[in-house]
Amino acid sequence: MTAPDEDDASDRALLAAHVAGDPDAFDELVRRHRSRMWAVALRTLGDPEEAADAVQDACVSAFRAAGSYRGEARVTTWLHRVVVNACLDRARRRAVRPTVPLPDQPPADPRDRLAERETGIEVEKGLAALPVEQRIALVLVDLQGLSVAEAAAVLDVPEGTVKSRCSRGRARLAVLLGHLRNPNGSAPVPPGDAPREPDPEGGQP
Amino acid sequence: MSDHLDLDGLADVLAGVAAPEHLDDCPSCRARLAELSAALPAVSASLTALPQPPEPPHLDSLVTAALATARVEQQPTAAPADVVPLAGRRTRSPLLWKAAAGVAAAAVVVAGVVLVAQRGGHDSSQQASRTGYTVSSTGTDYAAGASALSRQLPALLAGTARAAAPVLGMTGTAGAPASKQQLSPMTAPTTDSLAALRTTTGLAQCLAALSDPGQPGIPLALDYARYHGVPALVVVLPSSKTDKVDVFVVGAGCNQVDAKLLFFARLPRP
Repeated sequence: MTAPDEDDASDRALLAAHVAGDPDAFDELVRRHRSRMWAVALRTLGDPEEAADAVQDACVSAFRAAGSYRGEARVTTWLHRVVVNACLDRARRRAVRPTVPLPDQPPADPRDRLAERETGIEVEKGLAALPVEQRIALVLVDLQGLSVAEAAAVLDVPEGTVKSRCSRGRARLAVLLGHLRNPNGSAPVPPGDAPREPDPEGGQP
Repeated sequence: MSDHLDLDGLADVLAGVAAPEHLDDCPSCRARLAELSAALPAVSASLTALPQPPEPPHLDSLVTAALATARVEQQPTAAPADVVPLAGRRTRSPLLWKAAAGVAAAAVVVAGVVLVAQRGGHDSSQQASRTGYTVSSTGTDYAAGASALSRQLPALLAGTARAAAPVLGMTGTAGAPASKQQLSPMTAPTTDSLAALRTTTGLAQCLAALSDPGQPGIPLALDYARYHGVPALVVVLPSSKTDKVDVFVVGAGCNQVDAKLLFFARLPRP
């Protein structure tokens, strides 16, 4: 458990006030964290409409479940967990699949690829193409800056699982972004070959 | 010798969660491991460099509306036992963040209706049909969101809505005469807090906030009513699904920047 800092103490106070009946406390809590929740939802789901719905779902879930918050984790960690669960619910209901296929052709014009990479589009496409479990792990750790321990708490999985998902996700991104000459198992492998299809259940260790 | 490591296997080695003996005997896998190890910092840097996505301007309204609904559901006196739960109805959020693009289109629609009124009504049916929506002022207090709205929806779309009798999920002035209109919102009374939304400009701006980008923002029906006791405008818009309609309940002050969204539901088209 992370020692509560000043912000977390304030968040806890708001949550407690909400549970005690303060009609404005939860709105203030949402105002503080909505942008972060939005970022997680959008990066995870890749679709603004779905992300907005997930944030709504998460806010309502947190609103209703506030009384069950026991303070074991920081409020931000708890809110991350709620929004991640909302995203996973939506992703599973959609039986979400990668929105961008893994590359099966030689890369396009390197100058174009460089331009895209500079704007982050290529990275975002690659992120969207990852299995959802790996994508969420990377969103939490690399994009939101959570520690592995915090991400493990959010996802309710062992830290080793978070490490594995992050590493596998980065490795796939390395292939998608063209950082690897020989991405697949045994050598030699034709250039541009893709890693094998992910386990649909995200069955990493 | 065992099989070569695949990409996931190499990634697990780098994550420190696996240490297969195969690596000791396979220079090829060790070389690929080294290449992957060298590539990952650049990947991490690319991820870290991604900017935080800007929050869409409508998100605040959506969340506020969702929480308002949750609060209503939490109040035992406000939710009759046989009211349909609202959470399951909240199936889609509107795209509001390109609202400005829709202002012009919405203004055209409202202007068309104004034209109907100015023509004195001799061809109002034809014109109303052409412009495609009806305006009602039922004053109905939609107390339970989707349940009440779904009951009133056929009448709203048909232009025959009346102030609602107190039926399931709905409170209102039983038997009160309806003020159903098929004319300009400008002709409606302007002494209430919805006055701005009865003007061409005010309504156009509000419709722009509710319409999907690239869509004309032509409503199917409007009802100047109430929502949990406060003045509210019910806007029925076509849905992206042809068998549904999108029903928005907005408060006074709805404009292209802030829709003042009180409730949203996607309902079956009657």
